[in-house]
Amino acid sequence: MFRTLAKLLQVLNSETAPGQISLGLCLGMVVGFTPFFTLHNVLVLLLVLVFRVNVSAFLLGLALFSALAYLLDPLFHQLGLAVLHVEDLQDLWTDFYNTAIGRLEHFNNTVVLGSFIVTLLLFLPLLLLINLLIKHYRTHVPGWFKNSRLVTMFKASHFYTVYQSVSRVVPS
Amino acid sequence: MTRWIRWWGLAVFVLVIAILAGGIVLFADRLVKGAVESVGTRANGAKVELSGASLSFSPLGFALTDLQVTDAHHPLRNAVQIQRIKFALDGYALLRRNIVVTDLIAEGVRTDTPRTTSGALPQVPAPEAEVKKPGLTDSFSFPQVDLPDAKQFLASNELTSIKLAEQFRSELDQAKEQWNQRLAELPDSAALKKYEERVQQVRPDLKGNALQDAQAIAESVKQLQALRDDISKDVQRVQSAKQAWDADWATWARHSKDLLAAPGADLDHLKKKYSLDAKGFANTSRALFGGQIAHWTDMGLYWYDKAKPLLAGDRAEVQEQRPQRGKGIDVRFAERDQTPGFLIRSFKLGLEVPAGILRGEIRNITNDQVTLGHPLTFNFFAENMPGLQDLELEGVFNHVVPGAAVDSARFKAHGVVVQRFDVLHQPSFPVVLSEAAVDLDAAVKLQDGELKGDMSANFKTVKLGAEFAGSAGELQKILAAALVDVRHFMLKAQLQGSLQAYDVELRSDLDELLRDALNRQFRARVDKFVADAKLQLDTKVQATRRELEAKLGDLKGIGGVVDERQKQVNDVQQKAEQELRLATDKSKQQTDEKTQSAKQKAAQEASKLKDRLKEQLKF
Repeated sequence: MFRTLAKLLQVLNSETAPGQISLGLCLGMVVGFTPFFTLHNVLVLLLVLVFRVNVSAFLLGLALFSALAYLLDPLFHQLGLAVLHVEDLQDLWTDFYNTAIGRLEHFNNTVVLGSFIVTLLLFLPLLLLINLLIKHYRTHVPGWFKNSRLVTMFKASHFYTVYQSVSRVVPS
Repeated sequence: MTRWIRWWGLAVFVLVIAILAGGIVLFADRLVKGAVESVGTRANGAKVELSGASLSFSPLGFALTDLQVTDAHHPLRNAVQIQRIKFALDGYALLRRNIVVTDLIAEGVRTDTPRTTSGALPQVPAPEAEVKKPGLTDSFSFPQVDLPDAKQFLASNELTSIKLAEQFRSELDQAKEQWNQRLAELPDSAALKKYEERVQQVRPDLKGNALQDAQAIAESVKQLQALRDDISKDVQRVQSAKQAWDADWATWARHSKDLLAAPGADLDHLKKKYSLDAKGFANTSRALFGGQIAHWTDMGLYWYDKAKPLLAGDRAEVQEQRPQRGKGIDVRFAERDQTPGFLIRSFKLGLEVPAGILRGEIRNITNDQVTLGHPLTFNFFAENMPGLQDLELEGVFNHVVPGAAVDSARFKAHGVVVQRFDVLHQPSFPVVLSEAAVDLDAAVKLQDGELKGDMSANFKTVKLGAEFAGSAGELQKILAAALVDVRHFMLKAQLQGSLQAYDVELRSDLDELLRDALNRQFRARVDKFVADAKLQLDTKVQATRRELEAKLGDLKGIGGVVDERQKQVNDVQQKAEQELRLATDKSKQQTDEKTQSAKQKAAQEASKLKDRLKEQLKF
């Protein structure tokens, strides 16, 4: 976990595009929030591997949102159940239910649909927000941070040693 | 654009997918084999084994070889063994998470085959022993009908006539003793003579003196009255003895009559004892065929029980489910193409039976007939069965409407040539049907938990017989001879009850045929035995009867003595009464005379006094 966090800090401080990091975190959210063995997660994994999405950010996002999903599952279930029973959407669901992709996607499961809707709603705002935060971080935080007392203390800590070792290994 | 693409990532993805696909292709066979064995074993309660499985892609499906399903009740035998199973899956349905087998073909299906190793599960306790159906599977018990030697029988058995004769002899001996004693207590001739003497003695000795005579007569009356009282007591004793005698004699007469009738009753009892019990032989066919019918019924119900989970047609109510954490619930929507989660559209099989091959097809095997909208149907017919005119098995298991399931089956086999069929395995009486032509019709129906069925079998050109290994009893020999005479018979069975508790009622004209044949052969033997026994008994009873008659004669003599005593004592009593009457009359006469004389004397005195008064008063 320390290693992943350290990598993330390393990435944050590198010249990696903010979009790659935010996309990694958001795709991690998709896989983390929704049940793992679903068709859309195969697609997400393909995207993570094929496109230059930051894998560390993806793994961190996956770990973070999986833990969060454990708490949010009842909410996902309620949301999925409500949406699956919306009268106006019944024809749509029925059509989808009668397709092979629909059945493989297992969309008719309340947690799958509930969590998938939440990820869809959060994906773009979260992507933009993280992008903004990364840019803000890179502009303001490093200069202030380097001179802070906290960093002086931090440089003397074990975490910093790990960070340094990772920095040597992972090219920026 | 290319700076956004990570080519090695794409390669990793393709590699992972390829490994997964390769793994499935390589290990699918083992996975299927393991799945069939583990699921089958769990469902069967005993080992289910498969030699091999192979996956095919066009058409998508599997081929399984040598499937062995252990009989849970007999772990060293397979309930069913299938040489080869081939089935094709509907790929599109599989994508929709439905297992739909379009064609399932099973070849070389055999039932009740031997196993080389036990198929019992070590951790699973042995299944409960099969419940014995009372009356159907009971062994054939023969009544004791071996006819003994009449002389030996009489010597070793206590007959009523002999027992009564002994009792009567003892009774008469005792009575003789008692009556001799009682006779001794009764007044004998000496006592009666004494009474007569006393009568003579108490007669008044009249001397002409009126006063003295009157006193003598009064004394005589007094003594005669005392004598009469004494005699009366003896009369009462004799009368009481006479009454007791009469009662005893009546009892002996009754016992004597019973004794005369006893040998007849003994012979009747013998006849009954060594006659064939009509009830015991009323259902010989049940004893002969009951076990076999019970076995077939059990086998049918065993397979029905195994198939039952495939017929459970009620769909789970999704709305009532409570979601598992992180799992959620699946909401079902209407399916355009109504397909159950599991369906075998067609299952064709060739069942190898000793007579040939039974080929057939089972359609619509599913646990969700409600969704499918069609019931399970099956139809079998005979193939390569020489000597068989027609064989058909068909049935419908209809669970389409929840809560209104109806399962029915019909079986018809005409012109079945039976050659050596073990009807009864009992060592003491092994019955074998060596030859017969059978027409068999059977139907069974299960509705609302109520099981109903009937079977009718017409056996023609029958050759029945019993093959004894050792020595046979009397009845076994007779029954075996009777079985040989049977040329044709009908057997009817009615099944009713529930799957858990059913009863089979068997009827057959074989019962009557056998009973008649048995009676014919057995009656003559019994009659001879009874005649022998009568002769022996008569000889034995005759001597006893003569002895008892002599004893009764003796007792009759005692009766005569009692009668004589009674007569004598009555005579004495009459004499005493007569003397008393005479004495009393005489006493009365004397008293009257005395009164008359006194009156006359008084009248004379009065007349004299009157005359004297007249003289004195004469003026």
